[in-house]
Amino acid sequence: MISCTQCNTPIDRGIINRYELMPCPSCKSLLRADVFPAMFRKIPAGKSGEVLLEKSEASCFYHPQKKAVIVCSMCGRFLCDLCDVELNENHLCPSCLEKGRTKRKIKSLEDQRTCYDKIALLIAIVPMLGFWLTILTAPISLFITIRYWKAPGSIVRKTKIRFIAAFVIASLQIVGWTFFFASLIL
Amino acid sequence: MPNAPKEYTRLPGKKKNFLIGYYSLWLGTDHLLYIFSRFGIEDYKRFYFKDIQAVITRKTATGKIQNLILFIFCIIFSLMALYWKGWSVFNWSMAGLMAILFVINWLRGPTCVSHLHTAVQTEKLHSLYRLKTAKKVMNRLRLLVEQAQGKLARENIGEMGVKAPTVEISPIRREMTHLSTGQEGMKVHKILFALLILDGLVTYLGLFYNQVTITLFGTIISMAACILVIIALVRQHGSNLKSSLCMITWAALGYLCINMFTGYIFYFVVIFRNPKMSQNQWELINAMSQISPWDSSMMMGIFIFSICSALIIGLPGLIISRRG
Repeated sequence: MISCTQCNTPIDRGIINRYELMPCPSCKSLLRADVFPAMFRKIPAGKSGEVLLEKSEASCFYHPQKKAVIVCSMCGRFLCDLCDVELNENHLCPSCLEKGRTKRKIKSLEDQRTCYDKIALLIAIVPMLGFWLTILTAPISLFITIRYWKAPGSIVRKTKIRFIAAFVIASLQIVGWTFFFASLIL
Repeated sequence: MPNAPKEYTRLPGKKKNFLIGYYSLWLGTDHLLYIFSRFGIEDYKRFYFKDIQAVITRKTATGKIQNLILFIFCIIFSLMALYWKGWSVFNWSMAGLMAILFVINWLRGPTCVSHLHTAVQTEKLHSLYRLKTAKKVMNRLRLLVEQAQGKLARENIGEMGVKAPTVEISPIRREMTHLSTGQEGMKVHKILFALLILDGLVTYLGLFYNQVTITLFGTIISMAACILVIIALVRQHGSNLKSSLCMITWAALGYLCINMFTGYIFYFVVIFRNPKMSQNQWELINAMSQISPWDSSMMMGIFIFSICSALIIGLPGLIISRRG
């Protein structure tokens, strides 16, 4: 049930899909409620799988006593209704789903990523506030840039611009420190 | 070589989290991507257009409260610059900064909070923090979702009602959800903000009456507020309290820390000036309460800061916590 996010009163029909702010009848907060047909769509009940009645029928890989109804799109195993997981119009088994998530084979299951380009750039830039720190952080930034150059970055930005910027800044810092120490020695 | 088509398009709106990280919203071909990014680590949540049930946007008073606080700080720093000659450059700079922030906040328009509903979750979209941004995004998103699901006719809403078929939540879990948003969580906040207002009033009295009872009373109130602010912060952590209330509670902590710090500095200054009294606490407190803020511009500045901060934080905090 959708309700006002201030007072938790169920939203009145008169406020729905007006595309402008309308007052909640209970708390008078100004609300805009965009509701879509999915709200009223019945969620199909889950199936537990049919019991295998004849030996000639194919059985599920994970439940030998249940009838196979579909084949996994990734590994080809036979699956019953219980094991079948539908994802993006593909049918997968639980094992392939888990592998797809942990090994990043199924992109739409990826829920976290470490963006080494951002980390390298942060390490190159932030220590410049206390300049002497850069003597330590510049080599670290360079290392991260070279080590993780081929690692996938953010899924929304596919450029290497941050890596390039981190490399240039860290290199300039190292060159600067080299000149500094050289001038001290000479 | 032609460029690969962009998989995601950024939607307007970006909101910094309180301490670290920021939220952003991106549009994919068949889904909405919600990203929380901090220190190079990105967390993703996908909402497929065919699964989005509703998006509720509600206007909030957070923007107005921010404007009020910025405006009052601007006035305070201006007054301090006029009456406290030693630090006038700093005070005028701060007053100017507060004025600029006030104008920027006012131009950005009113604030709002948006929630996206699916069959299995309700997600707060932090990046849709300004009403203008939320309207732009919703007008765009609505068309895409209607392309995926079709349009909802008004007569269908009447027939089916707005009780959506959702995943059945167990009664225990429902009860736990109710408790985490309950009024019980705000009792401590109400007492805290009431004490802050009282502290402001007692400090105001202290401007005109230099008496040991007022000093002692003010100290007890401050110490009680310090204890209550810690309890309030612990209670609000992980709860479903409004973000404006949480923000004001953190501001109360900041103010109380500054208050304690200036109190300690003042205490040591009095000891250095009267070393003979350092053995006798009662005489020390008496000496502290006898010092009039009218004799020292620095003391006057501290008093004005305390009064204004206590009232600025206490009044809106009490109003928001009473609204529930």
